[in-house]
Amino acid sequence: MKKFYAVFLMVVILLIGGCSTQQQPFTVYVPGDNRQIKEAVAEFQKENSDLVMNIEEFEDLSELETRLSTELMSGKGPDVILMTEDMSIDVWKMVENQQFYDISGMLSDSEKYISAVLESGQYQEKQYLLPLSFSVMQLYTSEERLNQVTEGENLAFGAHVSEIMEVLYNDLQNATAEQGTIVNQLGEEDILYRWMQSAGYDMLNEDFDETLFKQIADTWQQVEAHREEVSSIATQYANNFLGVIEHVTFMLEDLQLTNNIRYYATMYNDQAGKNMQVIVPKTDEGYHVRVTAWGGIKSSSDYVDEGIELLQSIMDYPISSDFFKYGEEAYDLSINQENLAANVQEVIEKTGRAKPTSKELREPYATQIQDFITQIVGAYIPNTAVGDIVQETLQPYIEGTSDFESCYEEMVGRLERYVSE
Amino acid sequence: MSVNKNKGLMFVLPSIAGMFLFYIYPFARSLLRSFSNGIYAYSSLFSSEAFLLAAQNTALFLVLGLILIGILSLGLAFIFQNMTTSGVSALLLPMLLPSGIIVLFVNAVTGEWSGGVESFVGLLGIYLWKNTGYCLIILLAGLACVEKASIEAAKLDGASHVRIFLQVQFPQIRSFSCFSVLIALTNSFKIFRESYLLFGDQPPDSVYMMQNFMYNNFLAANDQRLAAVSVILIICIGIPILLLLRYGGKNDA
Repeated sequence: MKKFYAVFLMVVILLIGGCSTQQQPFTVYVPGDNRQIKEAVAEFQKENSDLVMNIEEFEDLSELETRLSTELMSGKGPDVILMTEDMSIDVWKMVENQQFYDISGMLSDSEKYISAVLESGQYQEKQYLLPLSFSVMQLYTSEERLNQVTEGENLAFGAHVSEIMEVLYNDLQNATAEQGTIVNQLGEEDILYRWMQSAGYDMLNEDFDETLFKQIADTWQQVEAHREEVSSIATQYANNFLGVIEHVTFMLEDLQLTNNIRYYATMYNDQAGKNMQVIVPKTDEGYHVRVTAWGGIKSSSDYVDEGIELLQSIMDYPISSDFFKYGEEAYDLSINQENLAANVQEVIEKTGRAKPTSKELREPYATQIQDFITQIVGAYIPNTAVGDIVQETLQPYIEGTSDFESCYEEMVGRLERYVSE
Repeated sequence: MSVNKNKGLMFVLPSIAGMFLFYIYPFARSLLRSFSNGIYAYSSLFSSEAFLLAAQNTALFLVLGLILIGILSLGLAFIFQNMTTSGVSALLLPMLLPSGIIVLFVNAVTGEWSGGVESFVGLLGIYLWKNTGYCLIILLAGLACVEKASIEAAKLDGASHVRIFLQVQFPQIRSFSCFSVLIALTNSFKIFRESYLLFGDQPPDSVYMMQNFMYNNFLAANDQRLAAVSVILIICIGIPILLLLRYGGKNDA
């Protein structure tokens, strides 16, 4: 059965370099401004008031990475670091180099954790990383199987793509029509709030930003200018390819409208099971399913358990560490080499049918194809360096200046070189 | 006598201290770090395709670069030996140009490089462009020190200009030529700036150099491997440098 998947990890890591002492603060490196971590630390400090905590936030990921590398070279480093999937540091190489503590003994009650998710942070049976979330992308080849696993969820999967598209474009039209009113009445809270809510801000829990709001409002005009083309491409995607929401997102990404699309994705998620994200467009081969379960740690909330159950039920595999053998096996490009090539080519060929004609959309189109291929390759080599390599090597093929075989050969060659670095 | 010896020691003490602090100590640390996991760092290096490719490219770049820069700067020194220093000093300009400007210029003139052999040749070209002037000035300074009498004597014996240059002047500027090779050698590693700006941290195979390998390992916080590479590099570069210093240190003919 043809299948592919991508797994993304968000992890907390305990570093070996900076074991805390009473004299030194317990240091946590956090990329960006992470409210949850701050709250967790505050909670922790209530119970451990004698411990001095030092949370260092890094707006710029590369600054964090450079500092981490430099500190590790001199035998220092933070005690805990929150890592995200878009960091370029290769976690598994660091694990291999014994840069992290084995925290197996520190997990007081392993029953609290989803074992399969926890296993994704293990290397040679030792726990180095604590995943906070993960997602899996998979292809189902039969409608029967899909119906079977989604029974009772009241999701008419086959129809969903067109339904989403219809809702999306109706709303785009309405919002475009409403734009004049909104722009003229900037400052009137009720209208702003309503508008921001429609843009998904309420659901994303983001603070209101008037500048951003104005930017978004302005982009409606641009959407209007390309609406027919966007609609036409989106319909082709809906008929041809997976992840329609993602692909509509890319087309609007350049116009800074991604939050609107997220809004629909979130609504859709709600139908699927609150903490789950399930996107199932139909393709020629079957159904591509992307499932995200949030929370490597079980909670008492009912819906988490329901979500896990749903996740378990719709997978063709049971969730197990077989998915997550990055450190030991996934670096071996010979695994599923044939499938990898086929998948990459498939992405390019299929998206090629919906190639935009306008200059404004061509660049985000190419970017998104590369992103998508990066996801596929990322299932084999989980690192942001992959994105750069994919982007650079496949660019000539996407531009039509080179054939697929030679671009692919170059891509695999560079990926292999990266792996051996 | 002993007072003089002590005075001498006092004079060289800061130098020795600096040598220990800035060279010997970091090297010793790197050496120890590279063996912190046994010989794993070294064995993994020599089984790494990336390392072998980087070593091969770097060696090729060094050999070709040094030969070409030697030939070029000597040839130009022969042509420009009678020119004023201010005229020749214009050749230093490429070295003073920031890497970003050089890359912009190269991109504007040649367009983007596809990543094949031409990228390697292009990088070599940038290296020669930047460093030939500097080496040339060193050689010209050496040529200015050559005894005029020996040249006149050779002329009286009917020697050609080329023969005078190669057999009378060149042997007398051996220390200068060794120094220029040394500078060219160390500057060859600085080409990484241009390479990085042109190709990023994952360049095409043809221009994947040791600096790329080291930089990427630094980003990956792979300090053991980085330490091992440093030790290997110091040995590989140190031996020819010592030979050069020894050869250049002998009295010029």
